[in-house]
Amino acid sequence: MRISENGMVRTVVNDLMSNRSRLSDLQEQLSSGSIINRPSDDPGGTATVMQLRGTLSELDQYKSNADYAHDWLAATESALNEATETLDRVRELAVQGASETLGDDSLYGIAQEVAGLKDHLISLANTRHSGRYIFAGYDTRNAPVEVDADGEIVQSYDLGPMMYEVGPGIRMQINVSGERVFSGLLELVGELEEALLVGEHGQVGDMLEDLDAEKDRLLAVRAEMGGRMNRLELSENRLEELELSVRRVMSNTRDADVAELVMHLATAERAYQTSLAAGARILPQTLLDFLR
Amino acid sequence: MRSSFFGLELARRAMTTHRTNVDVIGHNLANVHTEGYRKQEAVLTPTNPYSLAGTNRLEMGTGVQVQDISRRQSRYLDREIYRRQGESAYWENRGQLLSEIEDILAEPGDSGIGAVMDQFWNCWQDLAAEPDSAAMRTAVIERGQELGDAFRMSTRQLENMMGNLEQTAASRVDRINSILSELQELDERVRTLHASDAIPSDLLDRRDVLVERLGELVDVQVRDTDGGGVRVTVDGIPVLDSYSGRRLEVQAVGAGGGGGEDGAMGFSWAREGDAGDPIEWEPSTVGELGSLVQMRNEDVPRMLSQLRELADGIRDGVNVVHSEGVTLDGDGGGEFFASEAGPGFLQVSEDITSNPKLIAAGGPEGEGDYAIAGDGRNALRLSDLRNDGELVGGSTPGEYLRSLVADLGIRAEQADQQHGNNHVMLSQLLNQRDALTGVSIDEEMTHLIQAQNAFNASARLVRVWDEMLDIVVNGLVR
Repeated sequence: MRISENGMVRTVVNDLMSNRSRLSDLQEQLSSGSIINRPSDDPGGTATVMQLRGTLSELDQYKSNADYAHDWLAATESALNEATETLDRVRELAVQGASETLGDDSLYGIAQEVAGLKDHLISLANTRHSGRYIFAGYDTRNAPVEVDADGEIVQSYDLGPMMYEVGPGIRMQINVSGERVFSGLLELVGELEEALLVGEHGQVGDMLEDLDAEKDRLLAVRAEMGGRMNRLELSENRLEELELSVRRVMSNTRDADVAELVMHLATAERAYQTSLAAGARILPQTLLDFLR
Repeated sequence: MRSSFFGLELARRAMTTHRTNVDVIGHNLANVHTEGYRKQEAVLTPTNPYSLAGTNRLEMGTGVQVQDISRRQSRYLDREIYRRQGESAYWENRGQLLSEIEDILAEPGDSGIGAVMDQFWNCWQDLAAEPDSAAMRTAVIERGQELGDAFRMSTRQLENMMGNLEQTAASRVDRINSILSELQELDERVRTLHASDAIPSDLLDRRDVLVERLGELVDVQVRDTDGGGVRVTVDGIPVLDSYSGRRLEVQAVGAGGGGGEDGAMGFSWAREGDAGDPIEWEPSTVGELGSLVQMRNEDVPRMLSQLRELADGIRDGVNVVHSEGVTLDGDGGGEFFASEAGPGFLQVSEDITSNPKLIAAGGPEGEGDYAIAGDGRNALRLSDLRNDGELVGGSTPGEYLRSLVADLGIRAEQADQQHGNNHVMLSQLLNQRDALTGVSIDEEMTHLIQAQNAFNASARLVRVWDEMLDIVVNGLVR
């Protein structure tokens, strides 16, 4: 076959270009750490990466929702815990107050302490978390319990359920309405205070049963909250696992295997150098070199 | 009886012939890298023989002459090359243009529409967690505007690209016409020379080069005609022959027949110097012009309409759910994305940007008798739209975008592969043709030495005759 100058030059140039472009592809993959840098690198892989990226961003959101829910539940739990302790003290005082041996002075003292505990319960019902009343349903901006000018307790609880998405398809109510926790309790403690003030021992004794009922109710709500907290933690753990597995798939699809790439790079470099060397040796030679 | 100077004449003729041969070789060497140059060869033949007087039996040779300076032909390869070149140019350019669209979409990156869309859906969850927070409301507006910006930016870049494609196509049309004019002029000169039996090799080379250039732009076919001319057709439309030529014209884009800003770019071949009888033409998928026009008329508009469909789907879906909700003031929700922004545009309604309380995070209206401030149920429903399998063209917005991007990727990948294949085949064809018609310095040098030796030998012959005649003229009679 005849080999013309043009043909030889073309072959050398083509080889150099294709080796160069292979090098530049590898370089892009290495420097970006990703084998998918544009859709045409791997159309199916691109769609997968986009979907996984969406999933990751959703998971991030769920995690942040769960964090928020976690704080909220913790605030609720601590308020409920304190309410239980307060109720225990109220009951102790009621037991004392029920005893007919106590004089009016002592009763008054007990009534005073009950009044203080009542105020404390009111402040618990008005617990706020990041500026929002947690027992007020959707009415987060207004205190659910107020004491009017006559010293009367005015309670109004919204019942709106706060739903948080803490996992794919997992919705959880994180709030509990004060209606369930405080409305009966506060009324009862108010009545107790009144009974103590007027020295109605018998009435105070009758209230013990009601106080126990309130406590049972409180404990039930706390158990429910504990259950929610458990569910939340389970869900948070699952989120972590899910994220890990999504990241793994993402990495398998998109991330460059550096060791492998470096090996390819070395091979491509070798090929490039070889084609350079071949061109440099062959191109300058003609018969002219041997004529004089 | 032969003349006394017959031998001298023979030697002189031989010297001239070999000198011509050296010149032809020199011409080859000089054009060793000239585009489209085909190796020329001096065809040497013996001159007419001389019959010795009185006999028909003995014929004396009379020396050598250059009968022809021939040009190496490769008509079959040429046609294959035109074709392959057009294919190669089409796919190469198409690949580049598609990768431009890939750059515009910026997927799978963190700045593409996909990532912004994910954040948009997420921000509704943040709002659902704190519906009474002014900061969250503002964040939702910001995310909405960001999403709108992402769409606007891609859309605008695609529209710019369409404009650039039109300009590039128009400049290619100019180039096609200037090639055709030059071709026509050359063809006339070739035909004139052909009539006087000359073989204008260099003009023929130039003509082939021009056809090849044309072949990079459009699907060109060439036939040789009697009289040395060529007949050039583009997609079967005769654009040049010995009698007439046509010129390519761009029909007004978008106006009249094209219709609208997305109207297709049209072309017609008008007879040269004659207003009538233009032939409407759409470039086939061969050649650079074909790729530009296909991109301008099909790929980019399709991408644009898909992005618009996606934006419209999001806007309509969000607005329906949003209007079912309740604002922070307790009123029914209005539009979240303004519909007066027009199709394909996402723009948070001005009512909402000026009063973030109008974001309808609560509700839906009439479901449960609750307070408003902490109600984020509707915000959750809005966030849920990302999983709505009917939101955009029978799929979720994410799926729709992914399939759009994957489809683009497949087209770009195909273009790259096709270009690779065609480039390899084209290189092989060009190498084959070069093997046939190209100049090899080694070969020329060998022939040069050969010609030089032959010239030397002829010169020596002159000296021999000189000496012989010297004896005859000066030595015999003394």
